[in-house]
Amino acid sequence: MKITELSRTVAFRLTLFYSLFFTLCVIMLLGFVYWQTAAEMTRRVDQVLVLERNRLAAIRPDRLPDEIDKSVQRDRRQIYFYALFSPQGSFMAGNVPRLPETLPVDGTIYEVTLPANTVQPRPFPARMLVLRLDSGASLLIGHDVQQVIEFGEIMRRAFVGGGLLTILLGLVFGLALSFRPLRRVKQIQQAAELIMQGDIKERLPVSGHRDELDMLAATVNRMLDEIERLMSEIKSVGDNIAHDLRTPLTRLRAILYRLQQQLGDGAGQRAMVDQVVGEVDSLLARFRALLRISEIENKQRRAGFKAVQLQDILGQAVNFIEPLAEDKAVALAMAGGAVEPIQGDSELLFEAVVNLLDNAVKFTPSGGHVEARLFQGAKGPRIDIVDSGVGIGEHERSAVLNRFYRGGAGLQTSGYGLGLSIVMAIVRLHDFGFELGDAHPGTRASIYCWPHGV
Amino acid sequence: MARILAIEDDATTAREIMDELGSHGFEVDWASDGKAGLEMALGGHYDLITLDRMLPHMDGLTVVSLLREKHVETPVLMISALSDVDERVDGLRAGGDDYLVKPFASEEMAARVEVLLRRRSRPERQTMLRVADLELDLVARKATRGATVLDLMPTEFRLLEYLMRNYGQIVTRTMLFESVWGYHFDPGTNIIDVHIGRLRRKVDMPGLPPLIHTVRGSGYILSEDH
Repeated sequence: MKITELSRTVAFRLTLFYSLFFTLCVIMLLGFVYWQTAAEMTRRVDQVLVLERNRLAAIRPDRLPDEIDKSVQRDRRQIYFYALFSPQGSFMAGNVPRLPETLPVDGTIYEVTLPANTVQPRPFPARMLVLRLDSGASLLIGHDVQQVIEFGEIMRRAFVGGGLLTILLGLVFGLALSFRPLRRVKQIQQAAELIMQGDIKERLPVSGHRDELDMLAATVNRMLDEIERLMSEIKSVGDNIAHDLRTPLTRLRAILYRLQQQLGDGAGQRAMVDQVVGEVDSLLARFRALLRISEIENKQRRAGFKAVQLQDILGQAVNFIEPLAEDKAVALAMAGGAVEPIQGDSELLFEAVVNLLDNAVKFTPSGGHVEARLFQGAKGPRIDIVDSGVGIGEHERSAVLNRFYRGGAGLQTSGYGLGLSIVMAIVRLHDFGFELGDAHPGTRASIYCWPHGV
Repeated sequence: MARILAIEDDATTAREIMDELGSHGFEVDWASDGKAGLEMALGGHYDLITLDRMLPHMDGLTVVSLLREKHVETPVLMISALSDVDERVDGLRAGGDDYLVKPFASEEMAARVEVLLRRRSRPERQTMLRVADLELDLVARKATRGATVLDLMPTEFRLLEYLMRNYGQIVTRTMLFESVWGYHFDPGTNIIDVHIGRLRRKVDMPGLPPLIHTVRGSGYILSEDH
């Protein structure tokens, strides 16, 4: 089974859809948690900043630099920032040597990124406020928010990692889940293929799990039972008609024959009676062919099969048809050497080849040629009957074959008679393959003499 | 005059057989079931029996094998609606001499009866067949008409042999196909006629009285006068 096939199953698509949906939900949940946590952390930082501001603002201006130095020293984790600048803007105390330019001096808390080399070599985020003291000096209080940023980073990694993992698992599960249904669909497909190739007795497999595929297979199987019943009914009606009409037709011919014998050669009606006898004969021949087809179809496959030398059969058939070709000035030849013997019914194979050769000669104009070729292929021998006649159009070709495919023997494509139906019945009985192709110009009829699993 | 027994359960077919064979100058008796047929065949000194394959009380195969068991060698023409090759083989193996599939053309049946009747009166193991100035040497595989050696293909030789063995009798296309080619299906086209046509051009050379004649509606006959 190919991955592309697996990935097109309903099971796969549903699993993938659900895993995407799940990932989305997780992302939303994590996002909400992040948003809430970050807001809470910021709120706490701001609270601390306000407390510090109030504390430091209450201290006497002359003691403020000392207090700031003390606060800096107390802060072992180095997450607080303090600085005091003179009214002229020069640094007086603290751990931030320069006042960030973007920060308004209004006592409100802002989130700023301290440029590199302000406090540490690298830039980093902080929440800060700057307050103008009554003395005219500026007091900066800040708090590192690296933690909030890091927390956000962790969350982002969780989004990406978790999301990717979920999607990956979804893909794997999807493929695994679609494997079994797809395998069953394939089995159903194979069974349906056999049925289409004419094995109407074949049925779709039912697993016994009573799932939706079983329900479908069971319904289709019931439908096939019905189709098979109808087909056999139609076939037996057809056979019965042919059978029933044959007896009175034979009697009619007997009477006409007696009339023919009684009328002298000179009698005026003689020509008419001859014509009628001819017509009745061709009617009888057609009924015989119809019954012959169902007779072949009803034969037990392989019962009475023997080793057959195809080159002998082909040689005999060519000899048999040769005078017909000569009369029509069509060159008839045989090509190809010995092939391995096959299991078959030699009489039926002879009949099939004679029918094909007869058709080929019939549809080849005078001066043309017909060739019977025999090859040994990798899978088995192959018989080609190639003619230089008018050929059959591709469209017509499939129509010819389809029409005759399954006992549709009653239908007659102009000129092809029932010969091809008989050939098809014989080929089917042997489980061989048959093909009509283009011989540029003319037609190539091929019998592939190896099992085709029909 | 030859006496023939028709064992046939279908009255219409029986009437047909009796009419056709009657018109050929035979005396025909009718038995409508297997048991009665067997009794008549055992006691009646018939020259030929037409025997339906499927009969009430006792089927055709049993009738013919019982006859052969009791050393009654009357030629039997089996007539059957079963056309399968295996059925044919069964029929012939049980002791039938020929096998005809229903429905049949009555002249086909009559031609087969004539051939079977005559087969007995002619020696099988001839090495030289002669009809008028036509000679067929079966050992040397040589055919001559008068002083001319005929150049025959193997198939033509076999066709001529069959015609000469049954000279003076109508042989049908089916009989020719079955005996010369050994197959039992309907070859469909006029292919047998074409083969005969070829043979005829070689045997009946211009200026010579023709020996091979067409019998309209049924087949061919090889004879001096027609």
